[in-house]
Amino acid sequence: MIEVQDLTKYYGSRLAVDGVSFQVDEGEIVGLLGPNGAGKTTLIRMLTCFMPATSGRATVNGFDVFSQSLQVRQSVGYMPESVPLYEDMRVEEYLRFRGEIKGLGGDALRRRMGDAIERCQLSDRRRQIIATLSKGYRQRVGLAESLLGDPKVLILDEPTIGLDPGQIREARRLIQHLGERHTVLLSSHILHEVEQVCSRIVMISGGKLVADGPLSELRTGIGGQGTTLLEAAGDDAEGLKRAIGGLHGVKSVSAEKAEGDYTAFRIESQGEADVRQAVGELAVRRGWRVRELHTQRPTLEEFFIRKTAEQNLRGRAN
Amino acid sequence: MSKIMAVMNRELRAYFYSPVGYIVIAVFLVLGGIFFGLMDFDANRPAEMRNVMFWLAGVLVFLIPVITMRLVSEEMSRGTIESLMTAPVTDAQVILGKFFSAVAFFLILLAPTLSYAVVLAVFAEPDWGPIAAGYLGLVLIGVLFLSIGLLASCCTRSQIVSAFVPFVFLGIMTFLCRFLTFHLDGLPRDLLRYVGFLTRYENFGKGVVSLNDVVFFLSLTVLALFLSVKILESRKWRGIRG
Repeated sequence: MIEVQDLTKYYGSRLAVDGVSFQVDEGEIVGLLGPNGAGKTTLIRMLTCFMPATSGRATVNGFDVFSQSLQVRQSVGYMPESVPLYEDMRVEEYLRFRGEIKGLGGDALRRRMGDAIERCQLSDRRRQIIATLSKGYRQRVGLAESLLGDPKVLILDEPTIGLDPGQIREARRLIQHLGERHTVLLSSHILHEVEQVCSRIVMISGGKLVADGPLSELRTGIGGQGTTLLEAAGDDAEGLKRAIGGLHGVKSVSAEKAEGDYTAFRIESQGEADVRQAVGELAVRRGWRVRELHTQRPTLEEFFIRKTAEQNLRGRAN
Repeated sequence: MSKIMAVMNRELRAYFYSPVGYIVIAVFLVLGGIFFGLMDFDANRPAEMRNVMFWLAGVLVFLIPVITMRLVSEEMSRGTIESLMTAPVTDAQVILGKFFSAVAFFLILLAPTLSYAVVLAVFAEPDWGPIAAGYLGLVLIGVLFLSIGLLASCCTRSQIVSAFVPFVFLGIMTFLCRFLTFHLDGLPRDLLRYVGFLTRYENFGKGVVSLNDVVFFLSLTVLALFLSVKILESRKWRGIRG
């Protein structure tokens, strides 16, 4: 549905998007992830034909964003960041206007408006002036607008920014729902949001693609470097540390004093090895009182930070 | 075409969402009434509207920039340009829709002045030819002003700038050009007469409709609209954010 090949964008001499390639297949909900200023919005603006790329190619729904701009715009529903709306119009008026410039009219327009209003739960705000709507409702108007043309592809730029936790959950549910009928590309800098909605993640940082894959794959990719934590009290911490270090599958161990007379051991394991049982048995055999033993799987959050940090380092090295 | 109509419809409504539209109409009609009452509606004068029309054209130099300033500038400053330009409409459709809405607003503004002609007809027997010609001239010069104002609005996101620049430009092309024709001779004077908006416009007030003048106004209008479309397109090429 969306194909991006080597897309590059310069603002003057500043490189904003640097040779990004990825693909979104039909029916997918893909999260475009990256810290603020990573080039997400620029990338999206190129996909929605708001600005041309400096080089590279992109097609949406089979149409080239450069040479078939009108067809692309016809088949994409786009909600820009911060949802710009005509403040002085009423919700219904605004949706009618947007429907008309998307080429709808008559019965079809009325049906689509009704549908969009219903799906975004705006029925009780039809006649309200947009300027008086709360942030959450404005977001819904923007979303309803992007649904009007019943587009195959929905592109949402930071759809939950500025919403409160309750509204975020609501928006998330709505987006998940949308995934049943549309292919969705949404950008965000908030990880767990993407984690809960998207089946696949495209991560960019500093204008470059740093990761692309299904969530589960990204997770196992980082799961290998898990850390096991042991907190126990007993004699001869140094001896236990050395014994744990000798266990099969353990890469390194560090020990430090925890509160009370407990000692906290951080055990880095090799590959996929699960060392919890062996560590527990060893500690008990040596007469230690165990109060905690668990494995920390690195979250996507850590992956994200690591990836963006790598990106920064590489950027500095160049 | 229906997309142009949709844009026009929205823009025309927008004039009446805010007080600006009403204020512009009120100012125009109050001044028009004063000019008509003081200069044309008099027992000792011929039943014509030459003076009121001449001065109303002058008023348009101030009022038209107020009508056109928000057309594109507001879209840029509020960010709505992004949703507008990512909708399946061409730049030309957007410009034409906005232009026609301004023209429609201008005609609404002008319509009540027909009452002056009615008043004249009640008290005397006006010569309808020059009045009709005068209206044609007023519409032509107004439409030209609107297209220039629209062009300015495409150039900046600041509404103040997009009102001030055409105001100065129109002031030069109307008042200054006309003023200088009184003080110059020879070629410079002929040149200023040729390009001055007001000197062209005066011919209509006298009842003289020449193809020359009509083409002058219309071609400049088309030029300003063409440039507006090109400037809107160029925003995409210059890589300006927002």
